[in-house]
Amino acid sequence: MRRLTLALLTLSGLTFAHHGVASLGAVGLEGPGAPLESSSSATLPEGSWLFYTKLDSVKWKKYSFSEFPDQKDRSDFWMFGVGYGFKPWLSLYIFVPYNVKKELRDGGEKSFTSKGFADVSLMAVLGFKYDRGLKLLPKKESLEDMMDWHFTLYGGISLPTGNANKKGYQGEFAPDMALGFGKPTLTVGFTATKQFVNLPELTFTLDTSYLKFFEHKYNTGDKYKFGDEVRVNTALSYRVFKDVQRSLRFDLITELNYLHLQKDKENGTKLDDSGGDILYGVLGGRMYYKRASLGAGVKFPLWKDLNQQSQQQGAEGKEKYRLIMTFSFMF
Amino acid sequence: MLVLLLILLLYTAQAHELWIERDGNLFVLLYGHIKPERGEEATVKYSPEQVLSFECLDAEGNRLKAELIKGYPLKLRGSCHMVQAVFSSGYWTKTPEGLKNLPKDQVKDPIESWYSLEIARRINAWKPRREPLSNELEIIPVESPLSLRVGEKFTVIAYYRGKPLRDAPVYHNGRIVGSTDEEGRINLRVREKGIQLVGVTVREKDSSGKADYVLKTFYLIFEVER
Repeated sequence: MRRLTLALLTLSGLTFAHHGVASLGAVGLEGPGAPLESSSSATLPEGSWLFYTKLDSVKWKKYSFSEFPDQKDRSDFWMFGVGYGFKPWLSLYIFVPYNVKKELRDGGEKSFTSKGFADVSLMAVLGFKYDRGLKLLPKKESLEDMMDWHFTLYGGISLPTGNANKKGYQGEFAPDMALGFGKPTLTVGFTATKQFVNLPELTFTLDTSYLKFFEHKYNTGDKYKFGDEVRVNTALSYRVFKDVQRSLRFDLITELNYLHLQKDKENGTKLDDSGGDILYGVLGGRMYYKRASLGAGVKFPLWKDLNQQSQQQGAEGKEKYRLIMTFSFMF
Repeated sequence: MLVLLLILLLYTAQAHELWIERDGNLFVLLYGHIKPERGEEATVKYSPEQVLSFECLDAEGNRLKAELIKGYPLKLRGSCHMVQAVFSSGYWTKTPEGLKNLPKDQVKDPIESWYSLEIARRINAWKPRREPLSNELEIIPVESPLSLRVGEKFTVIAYYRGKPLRDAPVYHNGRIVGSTDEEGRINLRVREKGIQLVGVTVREKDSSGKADYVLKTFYLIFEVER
């Protein structure tokens, strides 16, 4: 259980996030909406920079301290990113996560917090569309072009810049409280986005990705490999308000996020108390103002099938809720 | 910034549109709001002097014989591949008291002034062409606009002085849908049956001294039946 908790906590902070791109001008006000958790198929305009910040604040469900003397309390996963549009169809990003993880120990009498910068990640996004044939995203699109099917292929790698050997409470070996994986991780993903022609207020997004981990040997000599992860996210965003004069727009967002986690491996052996399947729901909104975008929402597990579920606390799927906030600014 | 300025110009200066409706071999020149909002009149009466020309053309832009029926609205009877009108609502000057339909040398405290010139071209028969008909402001469709159906996309190219016009905001049936790319192209979509009005505006320096600039607008008009 503990290992699963640790792995999942760390993973949450690493998820790539190139969604919520603030858009320019009429496209921003009338173009497709962007989800909160899922990645949209938006790329950055050529020559544009994007600053991106996201907070994923998790409040964990807690149980009897007699049954679980050590419990996760709260985790804040910050993500700071910068993106650049090299071509209309190619955007590159660098993300720097900062994690704050608090746990209650010794029956809730003590607490321990681990915080610091985690593994830096790099990502490339290739954008293309279907408009009387498949093509790379052009430099300019009209509002009608924005309603075509848009797609992205994305790939990323994290670098082991975080401290994977950071010790836990009272100096114990605790990979879950560490700030890195010790090895690079790889992500590949695909997104599809469609703004409806007959109901342009509504945008559908599909985002599916695969995250691959590699085994790391810790200072203690233990080898550990976190379970790979598959995500299939869908989202609907609905524009409820726009004001052209003030360059203001507001969207309501709902998402279904499916997550499959493979079992972790310790010293080559699969761990039975790890892995599982979770379906999350997300409700939120996003406001656009000129070149800035501010999003906020709540994410909560709707259904889960975790291995040895009843024995877990602080694992993904065992959240009370996740509060998600994003802010991005393009220039 | 220039694009934003041109969008503002389209919103403020082109409060009215110019278009040509068809009834058999009769073509009717109308001015007003093709998509009137609440409180707006669909058509605005114009005087014959404001119409600088109203012509029946073949596919190459050559004049064809046609009967001009005077009065309001102005009508043209003939077998025309294209019909083209050139219209001017005259000089306009912003003043502290409001907008006046006068040149700047005839008002007190002029703030900004322009001469408005509008060209409307209706296509009734299609002949593919890759170049503009004139050396003026112009929009030409890339494919036949007459075979389009509701929901389909189409591409137009804006030209100005014989070259593709880039970064120009393009207006389609009541709304700005984007701006032209480096080749003067933009993709549009037929959203409803009936008249399609595609417009683009440029600003030129006025040499008469009566205004700060000339606002030229070109309207491409065609009809979608299905």
